[in-house]
Amino acid sequence: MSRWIVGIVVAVMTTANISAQTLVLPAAANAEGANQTNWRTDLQIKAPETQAATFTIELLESGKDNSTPIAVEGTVGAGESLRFGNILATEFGFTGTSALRVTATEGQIIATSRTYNDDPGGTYGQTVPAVAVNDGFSFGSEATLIQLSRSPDPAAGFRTNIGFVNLVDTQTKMEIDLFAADGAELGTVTRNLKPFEYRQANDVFHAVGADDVPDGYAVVRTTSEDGRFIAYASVVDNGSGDAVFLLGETENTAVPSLDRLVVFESFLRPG
Amino acid sequence: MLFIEQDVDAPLGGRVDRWFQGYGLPGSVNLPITMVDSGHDISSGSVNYVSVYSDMVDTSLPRMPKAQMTVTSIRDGNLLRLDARIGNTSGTTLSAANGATLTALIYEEPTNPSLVPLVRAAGTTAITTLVDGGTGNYSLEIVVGNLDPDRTRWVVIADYRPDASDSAYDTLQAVMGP
Repeated sequence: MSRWIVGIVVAVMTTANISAQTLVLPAAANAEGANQTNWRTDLQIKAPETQAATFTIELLESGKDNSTPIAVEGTVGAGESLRFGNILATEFGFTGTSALRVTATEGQIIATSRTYNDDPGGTYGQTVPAVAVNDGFSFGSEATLIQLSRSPDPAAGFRTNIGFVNLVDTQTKMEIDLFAADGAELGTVTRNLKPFEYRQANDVFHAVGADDVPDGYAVVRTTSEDGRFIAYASVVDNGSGDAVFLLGETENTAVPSLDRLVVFESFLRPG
Repeated sequence: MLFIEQDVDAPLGGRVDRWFQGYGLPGSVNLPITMVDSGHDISSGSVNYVSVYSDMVDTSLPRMPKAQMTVTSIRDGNLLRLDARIGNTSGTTLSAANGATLTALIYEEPTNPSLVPLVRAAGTTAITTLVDGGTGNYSLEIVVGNLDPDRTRWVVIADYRPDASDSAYDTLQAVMGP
């Protein structure tokens, strides 16, 4: 009996004790897009003034099992900041889309990124922040994405892409429930993510047959008990290609009451 | 969060009765039997342990306490005295009519931290009439024998039966120490 209970404790601790200094940039690109766009990602890493940091950057490629990702290592001096321009090309020689996982192996870091269309007339794009792995959503919690939209006119209005990063080394089943602003359910999109896979589901409202959604939202969850994930939405202006990046927000995650003790009692026959 | 277990053939503190009151049916059941919140949620027999037990915990964690409680303890030889102060926020009067009870379960902190502690002693006292919003003081003295003083721990659980037509109990609040 003890083993069964211990198993639960271990499972909880495993998901809770991932280093706070493992950060994930949930979307990055070095790819051509629609309408002759060229998407690039710049990554920025900074160490605090008191201590230098060493770090590892891992490439979590779209659509792949990233259990053994390509990685590069780096060092940033105390109080210094590093910028990696078009990092997928310059550091990884990679063309395509991905997420990036940055782990501080010594010291502490902060990180952020920008993914943009590198247009000859100027750039435009979206800030993609780093998310601590500890802040990922686990089984039983839900990521809510608001400010979503979908226009039936491909030259006007917006379309919505929703992306995920699987934060665990097992397959993770994802569900996206899509809603209109009045709460009417429009449909559900499912995906099955490989270990540490990054995936983006494009034009999700269209995928459920909802082509005209002036204002909508999505609720993202995993149905895998060991699942843990990050979810985001990229809402793209059909006319200009400009996009807004939105991270999943906690709306109804079970939060323990600060002053309540839960006692799990078991009764068994020793031996 | 506290995981604790008991020998079902030598139960202490009436806690196994809480399980059966939550079960609500006569007859035999399969081991192991488990509960959270004094039987508000229970399971029995061979189940998907990780899934079922995790669900029990996850469902319980966000529930609001129905009492405020502080407990102090004094060990004197083989006697442990626990003094509890309870503020009733349940919205109802706590009394014998709804079975309101204070239960102390005593255990030793396992030397192997991966093991679940076994209840070694227990004591109970009724919560006498305590109106909603009121505060009451209650004491328990429990013989703890030769339990290692350095590893002796306790959890005090206040519970009651919220629905007179239902035998199931629910936890008002619990406190562990020292």
